[in-house]
Amino acid sequence: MTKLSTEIEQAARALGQALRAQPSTQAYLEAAQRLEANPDVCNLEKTLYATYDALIARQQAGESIPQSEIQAFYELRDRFFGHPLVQEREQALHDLKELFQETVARLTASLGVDYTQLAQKEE
Amino acid sequence: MNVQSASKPAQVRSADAFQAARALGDLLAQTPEYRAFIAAFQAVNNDPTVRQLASRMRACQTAIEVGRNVGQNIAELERLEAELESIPVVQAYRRAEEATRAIFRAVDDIISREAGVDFAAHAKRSCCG
Repeated sequence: MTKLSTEIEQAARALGQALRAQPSTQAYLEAAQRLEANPDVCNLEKTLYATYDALIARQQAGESIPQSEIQAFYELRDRFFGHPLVQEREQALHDLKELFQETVARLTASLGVDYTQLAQKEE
Repeated sequence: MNVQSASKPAQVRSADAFQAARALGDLLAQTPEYRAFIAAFQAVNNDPTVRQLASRMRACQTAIEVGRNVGQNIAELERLEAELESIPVVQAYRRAEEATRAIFRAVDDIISREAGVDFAAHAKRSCCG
C-alpha cells in the first residue's frame, strides 16, 4: 500500500468532495441509481455486454458470425440505448466527463504531464 | 447537507473543484518520486543510444504498417525492444515511472471514493475526442 503524505491525502479528499458537490456529478449518480433500481434495464445491459463479449470471442477464434446474429445484436443494442433511463444516464455521463476532463486539465497544467496517463489502473 | 455549497451558483462551485485540482497538482509535482520521474524521463530522452534504438524501432514499425518484410521486422522490433529495456537509463526510468504511478493511483482512489465515481477513468479523453 503506497503511503501518501497527510497533505496530499487531504488535498485529494478535498478535490473528491468538491467534485461530488458539482451538479454534474450529482445528476450522474442519481441517473445511475435510477437505472440500477430497474431490474429489466439491468438485465438488458448484462445481456448486451455478454452477447458482445461472446461475439468478439467467436470472431477472434476465426469464426464467421452469421449476419442474422449481428443484426440481432444491433437490435439489442438499440433497445438498450434507446431506453429513457439509459439515455438519461448517458447524457449525465457525458456532462460528468466534461467536468472531469476540465478538472484534470488543471491537474495536468500543474504537473506538466497528463495526470490520467499516470493514474490509470492496469487493465 | 452543506447549505453554503447549495446556494452557490454552478460556476462558482466548479471553480472550487478546479482550484482544488490545481492545489493537488502543485503538491504532487513537489513529491520526490515525481521529481525523480521527470529527471529520469529527461535522461531517457537525451540518451544517444536510446534515441538511436528508438529511430530503428520506428523504422521497423513503419515497415510493418506498410506490409514490408513483416515477419522479419516484427522479430527485429522485439529484439530492439529487449535491447532498449536492458539499458540502465531506461530501467531507471521504468522504476521511477512505477513509483510515480503507485502514488497517482493511490491519489486517484481517494478522489474517486470521495466523488463517488471513478475519476481518472472518466477524465480520460478517447482517441475519438
